[in-house]
Amino acid sequence: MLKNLLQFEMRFHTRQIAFYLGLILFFVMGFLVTGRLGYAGKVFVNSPHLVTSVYLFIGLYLPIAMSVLTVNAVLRDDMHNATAMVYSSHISAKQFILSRYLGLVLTATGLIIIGGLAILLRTYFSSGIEGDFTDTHIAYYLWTLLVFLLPNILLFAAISFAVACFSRSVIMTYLSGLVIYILYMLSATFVDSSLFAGSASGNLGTAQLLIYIDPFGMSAYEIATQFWTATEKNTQLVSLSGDLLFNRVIWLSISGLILTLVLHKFKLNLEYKASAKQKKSANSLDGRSVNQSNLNSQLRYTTITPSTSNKRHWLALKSSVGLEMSYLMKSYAFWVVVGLWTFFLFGEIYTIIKSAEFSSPLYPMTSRVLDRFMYDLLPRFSLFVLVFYSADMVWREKDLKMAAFIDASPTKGSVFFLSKFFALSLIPFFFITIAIAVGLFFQWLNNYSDYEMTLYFSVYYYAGLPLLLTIAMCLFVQVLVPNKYIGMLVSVFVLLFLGTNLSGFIGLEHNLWHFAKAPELNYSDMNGFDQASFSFAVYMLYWGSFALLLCLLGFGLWRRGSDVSFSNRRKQIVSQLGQSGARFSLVCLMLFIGSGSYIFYQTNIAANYYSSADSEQFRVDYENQFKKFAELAQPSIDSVNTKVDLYPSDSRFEVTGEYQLINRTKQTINQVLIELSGDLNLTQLILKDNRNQQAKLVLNKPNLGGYVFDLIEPLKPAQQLTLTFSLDQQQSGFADFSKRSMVTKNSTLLYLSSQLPRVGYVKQKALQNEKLREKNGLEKLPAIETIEQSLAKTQGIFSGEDDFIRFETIVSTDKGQTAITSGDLIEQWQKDGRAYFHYKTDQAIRNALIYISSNYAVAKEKFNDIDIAVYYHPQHNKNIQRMLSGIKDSLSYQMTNFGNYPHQQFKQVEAAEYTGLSGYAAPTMTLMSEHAGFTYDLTNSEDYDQVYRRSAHEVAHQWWGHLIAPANIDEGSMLFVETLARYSESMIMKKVYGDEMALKFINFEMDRYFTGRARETDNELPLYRTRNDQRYLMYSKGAVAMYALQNTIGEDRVNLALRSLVEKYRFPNNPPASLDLLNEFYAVAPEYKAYIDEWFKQMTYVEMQLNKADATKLNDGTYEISLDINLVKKQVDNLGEESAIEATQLIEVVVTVEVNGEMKTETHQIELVSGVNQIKLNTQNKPSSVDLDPRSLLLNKNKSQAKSEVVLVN
Amino acid sequence: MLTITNLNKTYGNGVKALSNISLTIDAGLFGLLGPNGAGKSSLMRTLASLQGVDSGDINFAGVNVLEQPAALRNQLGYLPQEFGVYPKISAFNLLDHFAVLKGIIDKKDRQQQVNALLEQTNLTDVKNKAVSDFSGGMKQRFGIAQALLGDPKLIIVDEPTAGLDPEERNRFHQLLSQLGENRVVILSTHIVEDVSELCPKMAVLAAGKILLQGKPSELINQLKGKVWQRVIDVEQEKIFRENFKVISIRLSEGKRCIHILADSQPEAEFKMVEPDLEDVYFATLYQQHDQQNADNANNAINAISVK
Repeated sequence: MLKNLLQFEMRFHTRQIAFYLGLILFFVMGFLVTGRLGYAGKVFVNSPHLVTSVYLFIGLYLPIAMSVLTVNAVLRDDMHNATAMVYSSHISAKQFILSRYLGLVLTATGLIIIGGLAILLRTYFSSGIEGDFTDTHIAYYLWTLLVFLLPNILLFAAISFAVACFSRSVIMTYLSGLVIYILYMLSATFVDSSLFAGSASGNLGTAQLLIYIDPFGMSAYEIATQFWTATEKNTQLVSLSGDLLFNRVIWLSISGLILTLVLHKFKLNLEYKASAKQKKSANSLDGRSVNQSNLNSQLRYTTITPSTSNKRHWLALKSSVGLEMSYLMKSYAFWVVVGLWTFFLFGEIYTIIKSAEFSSPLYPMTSRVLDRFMYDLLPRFSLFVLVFYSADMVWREKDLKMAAFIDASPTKGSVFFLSKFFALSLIPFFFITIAIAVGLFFQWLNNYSDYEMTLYFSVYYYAGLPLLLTIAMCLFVQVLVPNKYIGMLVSVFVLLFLGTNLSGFIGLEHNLWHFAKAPELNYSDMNGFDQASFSFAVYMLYWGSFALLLCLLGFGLWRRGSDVSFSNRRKQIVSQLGQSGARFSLVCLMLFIGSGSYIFYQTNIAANYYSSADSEQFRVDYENQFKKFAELAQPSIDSVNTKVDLYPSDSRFEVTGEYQLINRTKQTINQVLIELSGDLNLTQLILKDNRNQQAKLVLNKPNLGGYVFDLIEPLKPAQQLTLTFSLDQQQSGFADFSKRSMVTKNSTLLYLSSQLPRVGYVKQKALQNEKLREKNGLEKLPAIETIEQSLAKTQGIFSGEDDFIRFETIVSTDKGQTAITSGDLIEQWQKDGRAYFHYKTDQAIRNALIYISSNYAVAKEKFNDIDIAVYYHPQHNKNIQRMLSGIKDSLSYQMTNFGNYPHQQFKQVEAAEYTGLSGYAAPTMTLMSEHAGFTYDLTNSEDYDQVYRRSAHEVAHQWWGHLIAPANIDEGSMLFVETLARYSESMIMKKVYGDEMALKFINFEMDRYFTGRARETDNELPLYRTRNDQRYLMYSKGAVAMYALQNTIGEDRVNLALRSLVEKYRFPNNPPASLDLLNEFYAVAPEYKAYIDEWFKQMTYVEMQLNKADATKLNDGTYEISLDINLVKKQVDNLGEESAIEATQLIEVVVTVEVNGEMKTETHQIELVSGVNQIKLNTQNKPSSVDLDPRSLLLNKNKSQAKSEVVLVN
Repeated sequence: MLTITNLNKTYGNGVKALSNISLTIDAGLFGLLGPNGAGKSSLMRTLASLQGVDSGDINFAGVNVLEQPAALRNQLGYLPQEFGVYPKISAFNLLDHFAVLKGIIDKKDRQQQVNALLEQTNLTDVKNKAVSDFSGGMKQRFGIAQALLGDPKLIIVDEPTAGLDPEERNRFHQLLSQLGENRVVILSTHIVEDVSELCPKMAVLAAGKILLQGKPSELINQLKGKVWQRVIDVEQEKIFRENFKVISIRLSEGKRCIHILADSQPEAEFKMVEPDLEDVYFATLYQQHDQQNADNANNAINAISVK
């Protein structure tokens, strides 16, 4: 019987359109996602890791697919009014449930197998995939299927099956799929899934619970593989153990429980329909009414002639809107959606004040609250709800079989369209209002009382308006498309594909194509939405008039009666709209075209617009045109003297300036290439030699930003040239200006490296993508040069990354603002309603110039003749003292240990959030964006004061990065920037917080190193070779190495080496190579050469596991501790291959002992060999715990298992 | 008042729903009788401006229905064959909403009429209950109340008594019978009694064609002396069908009673009976079938001869 039923189920499912749509969907996804997801690099595209990742990724769509299948499986009887027939047939409840459940499971399994096949096929038909391949193993697919996907299918089927059986509601069943998805998202957000986020928080494994609540098991997979290297990813399948096993067992049991529940509770009768009871009561009422039948009542029916006034339409609209709204309000599903939304909001907003290890929570400022939902969560969540409800509402009368009543009424189609529009607009209104309420509640809860209601209310405008347009589009699509579900698909397609940059794939790159989308909004407490607010308004006018046109078409095409073919309805448009409608649509059309033209003008004509094809071509042309200058000797900039006028309120700036160029090479120079961004309006560019002869401009390519001058007389070494220029730029919220260089009302930031002329060929402007280079016939980019190659090439005479310059500038800005740049402020004045500032440097600085201007408050202090100032947005005043003391302590530490600060002033300046500068060290100044310190909430900080730490770190760059500049080579130069700044920072923090806390931070960094190397797409390198993009080396391993080094040889000796480094390599001397740093270390600690080399020149690490720690009390009253320690030492070769090596390792063991009720520590040295070690230690006092290598002198992957309580045995 | 001229409609699937239909209908109740699938609902929907035609005209009191549907809708009351309602909305509120949609803008007037209609349809006691929970009869009465909102000059009720118990049906008929003054009420049904009880004029529709129209009494008169009846056994049915024009076989107390059409007494066992409207209806359908069979046979012969 069951077999027959099951066969029937399978026949049923395989005849559904949904099934075929699912097949196509999973196949397409498997095919498309393969090769695009995860970190390829050295990891093979068909490695067990990537196969599993991709397969799991497409498995994310299972709950949605399954809820659709479940609706078919369980609710089909209801939908076809066959329930009574099916339930009264002779099948038992058990057979009914099992057959349908299994049918569901088998069908879903079929879908996911197709997905797997698609992945497999894609690894054979692999054109277009970047990455390498290994042998195909079906086992990888089967394992993922068995461990993850099949259990997931059993679970999701059970959940949506139960929901469908008990609720008998279509939308509740769909929602059950959504809830599963949300559980996953919640878990993934906290676990920081590498599938979605690129950022390594390095903070995995802190929240066990969150690993368990992920019903997909993906978070557990992430955790299990977080430290895996490329080799492991290429060869290993995850083992079913630990957290993963626990996760799987939990969720399988839950599926079993749910299924049992359904089997026991679900009966094949119709009493589950709530309305059955009501029906009874209504019937009994009916019975009564028969007796009271009275046709001759005094309430006589009299006819009333319908009004023909326009008021009737208003009333009809009002009544319909009321009806639709009450439908929404009374629908259970809507409240479930609202509940989900609220739940989501709490989760998201909580992350603002959530304190994680070594990171700081923020004050729950309104702009931060908005940031959590306004830009992504709200639009995405609303989109799906709106697509669903617009379909539901448009087809409601039809589905309820009451369309004839409505259609035969004299009310216009526009009334129905509009009533649905207004009712639907309640959804975003609700969502936004709830979000505001949750935000306010949250702020109140945290005693944060600056509510900024105006900002809150602006959400209705900035986020609500686009959603209204979304509604218009959804309604229009539903009116146009003759099937509800196809309509939903079309809506999603239109909104997701055309409404985002995805449509760039088919060439629709320009914003004018992206429905209901405006240029990205960037809110800053300093600046509001500023520029974006105007462009937003214009874009909304553009899309708003388009949406109105859609509405008008929707009025005209509104389905009425049963003859609803498009051709029939098309004919009625004109008569439906009437004259006023036609006039109105003409107005909309004119607004649409007008605003569109304005946007086009602002984007493409007033500014430079580059499509991705344009910018590719631009890069190719630049390279072809100017490549030869990369090899030609070019002069360096020796001094910069500018006059910069900022007009923040007009979004405009003007610069006139003069460079002294000098030939620092040993060759003579005949031609000079000047580079300038094509977005600038250049009004003057003159190159003269010191005899005042003007060089001839022989090649003038303003689009490419290249200008070639022929010198009248060849420039001999050490001879000078003068370049004078003037330029300006008008910005607007339409053009795609880099957010980093914007001139806006209260926040201006200019990077003069990209807004002033540069000399010579700019490598970064060439195409960097090898595939595109090949396509355009360009030769491959030169391979990374090893440090030895660089040395051989230059004989150790490196040029710096930027030229060192003498700098003087007069910058003016709007009155009331302060304009800040590098150098010491020597004079300031006001003239003609503008504020002027004169900056000048005594010492040469790196040419990394920045101008910033805003209406700042300032806190000043003096430290050893240095004027320190923090410039900040007046409302962001809570952490200023912390910054000042961080700056002072940092200046003090470095001046004491590495040499003097060569300027008179130092300032830390707040930059607008959207500049994305978490911290940026320019000469004589640090830039820090709003929420990278100024708004940290330090009140409950348990570990580091992050404001203090970051300020100290950035100040350290005045030495590490500015006094010692990084050489312009491929390997090792970042050691002098980040590793040493990390070291200075650690020493300062150690002083304030003590060794224990500092070590905790170092261990945290050690984890980050291991996570970071697992995500390496290329080869890991030894620390001294660190490439410029290997942050896990220069920051994390560097910090750990330096800390271990100073623990081993002593802080004094390290500082001695660094001081010597500064003296030898500071400007005007050549910058150092990393080998020079090692030489300094060898010089101060020759006996530790091997140790230094192990950290800096080799790639080794240990895995130490403390299996057992026992102690026995001996007869003489002393204790013998026996430790069981497993040691594995691994060596990584240049190809990233890891191998265990035989090693003898001396390590420190610290035993905590009890002496007269007090805890003391004893340090022992032990020697371990690879493998299992039985170690015995003797101590006078009662041992309580042991800790292996507590000072982190070794790089240990297993740090969490290095500590144990000592068990006393007798 | 209502003039229908040469309506033709063929659906996309080739089914000819309306075939050259012409009717003139005056004020009063008009019965449209026909078997299931005859095209009644198509015609009703067309008259209610919910469906177009391929050719033909409909004129109601000077309004060209096909070209000015909106003008018709102002004076239309329509009760579709099968209908649902919004869930969880009370009879009063829903009726009030429909009244607004019909254009009754004065609140007092509207509520007065809604209450009166609820009373008239005997729904006052349940006016605050959700219509979606009503029994079939109550729902139909609600439907008619809905159709009477405003001042409908043309009321179209499509198969209103299907599924009603006798008492419900009876009450429904009383309600309809009160409406026939000054307005056109078209009642479509496949139940002969509905027409004989209510309609002074009628038409029979089958396979999209009007087969017969007139006053029921006159139509019955035309059949006088032509309907014969006898009781037969089950196994005889086939023989009788082959030899006589059997228009209907009715069961009466478990016996089979056949009615045949003949100008004179065919056999001694046949008794002449006084024809009723049912006989008229079945006789018409019989002739239609006969005609169709003959046509089919002809067509078949033609087809063969063409070969």
